[in-house]
Amino acid sequence: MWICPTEYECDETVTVAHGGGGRLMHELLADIIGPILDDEELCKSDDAAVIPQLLGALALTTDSFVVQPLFFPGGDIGSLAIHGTINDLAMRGARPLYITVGSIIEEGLPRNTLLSIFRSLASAARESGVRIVAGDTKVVERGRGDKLFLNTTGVGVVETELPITPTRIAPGDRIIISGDIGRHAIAVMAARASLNFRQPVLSDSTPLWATVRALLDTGSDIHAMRDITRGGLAAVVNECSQMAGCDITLEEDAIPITPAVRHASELLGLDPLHLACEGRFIVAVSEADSESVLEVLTTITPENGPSIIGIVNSTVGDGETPTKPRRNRVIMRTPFGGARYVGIPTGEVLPRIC
Amino acid sequence: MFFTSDGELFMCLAVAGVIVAVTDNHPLRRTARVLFGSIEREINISFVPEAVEGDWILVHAGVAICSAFRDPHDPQFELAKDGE
Amino acid sequence: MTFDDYYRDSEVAEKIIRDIFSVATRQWRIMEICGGQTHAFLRTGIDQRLTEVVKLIHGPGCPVCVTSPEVIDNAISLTRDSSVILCSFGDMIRVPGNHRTLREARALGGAVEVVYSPLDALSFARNNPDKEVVFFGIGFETTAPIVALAILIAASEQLNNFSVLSSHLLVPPALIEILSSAEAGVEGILAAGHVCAVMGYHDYAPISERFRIPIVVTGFEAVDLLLGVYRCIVQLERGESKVENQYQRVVIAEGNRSARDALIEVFEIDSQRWRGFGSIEASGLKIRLPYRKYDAFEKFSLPRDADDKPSECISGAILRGIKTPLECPAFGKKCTLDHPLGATMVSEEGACSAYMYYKIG
Repeated sequence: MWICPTEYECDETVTVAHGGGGRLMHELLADIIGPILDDEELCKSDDAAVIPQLLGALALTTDSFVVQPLFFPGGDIGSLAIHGTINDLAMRGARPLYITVGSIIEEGLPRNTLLSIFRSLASAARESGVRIVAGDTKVVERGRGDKLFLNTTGVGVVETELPITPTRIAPGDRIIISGDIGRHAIAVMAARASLNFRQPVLSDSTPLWATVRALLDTGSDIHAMRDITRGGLAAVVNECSQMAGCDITLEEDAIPITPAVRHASELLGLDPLHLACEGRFIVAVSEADSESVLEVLTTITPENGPSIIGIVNSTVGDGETPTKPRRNRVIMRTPFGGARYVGIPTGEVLPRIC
Repeated sequence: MFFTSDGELFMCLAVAGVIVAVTDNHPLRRTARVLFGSIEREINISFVPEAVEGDWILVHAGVAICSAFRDPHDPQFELAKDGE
Repeated sequence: MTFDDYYRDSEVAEKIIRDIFSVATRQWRIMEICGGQTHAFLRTGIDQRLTEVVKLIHGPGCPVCVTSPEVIDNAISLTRDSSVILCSFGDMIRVPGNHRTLREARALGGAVEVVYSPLDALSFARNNPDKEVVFFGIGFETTAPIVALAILIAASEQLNNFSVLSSHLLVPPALIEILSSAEAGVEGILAAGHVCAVMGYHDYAPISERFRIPIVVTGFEAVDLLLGVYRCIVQLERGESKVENQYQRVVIAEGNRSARDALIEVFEIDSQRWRGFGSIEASGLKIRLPYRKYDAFEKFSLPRDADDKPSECISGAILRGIKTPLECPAFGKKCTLDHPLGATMVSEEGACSAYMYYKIG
């Protein structure tokens, strides 16, 4: 049974004074958070970080993290924040370089919890060679925030010639998925609802830049990449379909889902295609490039079961079913020889998932 | 505790699980740990008084509504006691 | 391997589809009763494989869809009382009464808790002795015994701050109503497997005989549904009309005695209003006199009867099998998953939501 790793030995908590800009805040940042994050530029404590000139097109992203609970099997809000930011940049073919972290802390959050999360932020950043160069900390009164919210901005440099964006998706392209879906959602659900798994399902939260770089190294012309987060695979494929102006047909049998995620989905009445991931993405490439892309993914993480899951449709009437597809829809062929639409879930399937 | 933004869970669909251990034998509150695939839950089993550890049951809304058993006409079907 | 793997096997399914086509000489109109079966047909796409030989008519077996707007209004009126915590299944939260939904009532400050089981509502009552906890009990015969169990447990613990707003429905009377009106032209029936798991299927023999209609108790996986259809068509081609049980791994003719005992201990049969049908005699359950203190209608003096309000939503015709969602002028336009006009679009098992999510064509 998975147990939250935070130790609550120290009963010191964060108070409003720690966010006030005075001595207490200075102590918190300089003496504690600073050394954890351990970045030269950050520790200068200037109003802004100045980074060396970057060569190439810049990619910028921003993200907020409100996951509940803060700690879940396979990660926490800190590691999630870094991975999520890195992945947004990676999806545009940009090498992630710098991240800023803003935190809004609810008064009463145990200091050890905060430090544990910052250690996690620091460790995730270091592993990916990304620097946290700026940050901000605010504290709100008890009851006005929900333990901790994080916001990040990420900066990267684009390393591809041609843009990587769903508008470049063309009929005949293959849709390839990097691995099995739904682990993050189920991991968070399990922590939230105290679901008793025999083998805990770990969140798939992971940085994707190294994998993306390897894909770029194959020389393939990557048309589009999207990481699968809120709304799951269904949301991401629908977005691609809309932006490309093409229908997309998926093969249900080809979509990798682990037995544990399947069981949990059935038990909870959830559709696996709507479940959030935090370390999975889809790639759209021409048929000619699809084999080398799949090979790279299979070499790097064979245990995740990457596979080709679909094809971008050309004209109306293409394929034996359906006979008259509407524009911009995602169709899935079932193992029983039928076909059905894959829609975007209405509203949030699972709130506060990332 | 909340599952979805509206806590939507399939109502009508019951799920089959296997009894791992009976934890309370009080008549109205007879309870067992039941394994569904790879997840264990506490389930009220007062409606299946004859069911014991190792038996399959059909569960709906936290309560076992009947026993479930092998299809006598399907020779290929082997009941697996271990969820995976 | 898990319990249902065989019944999800696409090769087994393919063989049964071949068998169906080898016996069917024409298209037959078959009704699947349960909303869960409707969704399973559409989600797996097997309805498309069978169109030449089966016209599927969707039945009224979606409890969320057929719960009367008046009882939802009653639930909402309870939430205005600050001493009340209303516990409900998740699916009911978005269904509109005559004016609004429980979710809206919650946004307006009402205490509405989504629960997975009526037993969770009991926990709320135990943990909040200063509050009145009301469980919004809806469903068919699968759920009613569970609600009965909750009431029996409450009685045994003398839990005085717990009651049930009960709107439970029985399948056979609605089935008789649909078959009697003959509007839908149903020729064969796939009976709801889990309802029969509890109640058995003795009640269906007289219906089968009276209307000369084959009734096959069917499960919820692809192979279950295909076997159910197959058995139905075999009978139809032979001119037979009897009750058969496809779902043998779960259902026996007698059903579950313990569960039924609890049900008849706590409930008695009464007439009930169905959304889209109006009032059907002997089609619902009312809490019996010895357990009236757990009856929210009595406790809070709630009105039991009211008039139906007209609306643009044609879910009534859909639930009676006369129309499909595709024939509704509002479908996909004014009425969508995000902005549902009626219960069959709100409910996860409603025909309209199934069509919007899955159906191609």
